[in-house]
Amino acid sequence: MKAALNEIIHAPNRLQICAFLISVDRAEFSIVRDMLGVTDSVTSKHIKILQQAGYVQIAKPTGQGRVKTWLELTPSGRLAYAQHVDTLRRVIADSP
Amino acid sequence: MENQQHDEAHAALTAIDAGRTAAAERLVSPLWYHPPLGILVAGYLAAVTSRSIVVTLVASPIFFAGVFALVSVYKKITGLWISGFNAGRASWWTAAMSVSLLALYGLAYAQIWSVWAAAATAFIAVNVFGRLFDRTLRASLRTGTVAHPR
Repeated sequence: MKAALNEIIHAPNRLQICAFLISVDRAEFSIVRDMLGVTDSVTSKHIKILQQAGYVQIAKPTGQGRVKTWLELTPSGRLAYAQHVDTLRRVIADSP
Repeated sequence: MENQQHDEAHAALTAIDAGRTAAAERLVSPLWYHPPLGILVAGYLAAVTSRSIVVTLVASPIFFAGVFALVSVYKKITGLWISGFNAGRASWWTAAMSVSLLALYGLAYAQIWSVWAAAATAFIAVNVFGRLFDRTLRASLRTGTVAHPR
């Protein structure tokens, strides 16, 4: 039987973003982009999908010089990621 | 079909490992971070146990502004933030540091002669526990034992 994977999180870049963000409280956009090794626009596209699903929250604090974009997994993003990892582990464990 | 899903799951877990390892590599406190933090904590401890309201009133804004500035520079340079109380197994070092600082505060307040020794010990505690925190956090991230700290 095919296990139900969360398609929003399952894309490799988005999975890596979630795995990175779950390890910290907040991360700056450029750090996430460098971690993925992709362009700003590709990173933005993936972040936008995660944001629209309610998994990532974006903050742009002002008043501290150049505005930087900070990313944070929301509680539902953390839960969805944890469930997704559990599903992946189950798939591997159940394989013949 | 199942084999394909199995391979996909393996590839996904590899991507997760890569994300976690990247976080572990980035989460290295700069060498300059803990010494000034230790000086701020030691100075504040000496000030609040001096039993002088004036000294405490002068020291408090300096301490809080100093910690705020230090954290801001840390965030700006590393592009990351993780709370000391929210880091899985590594948070035990934060708890140990907090307990030792409270004990030092109690000692310095009860025995006024011990203020400078307590302040010096606080400086050492911040530096030692801070580095232990960093090391434990990075090790936990690499092995995947910090799943979702919150």
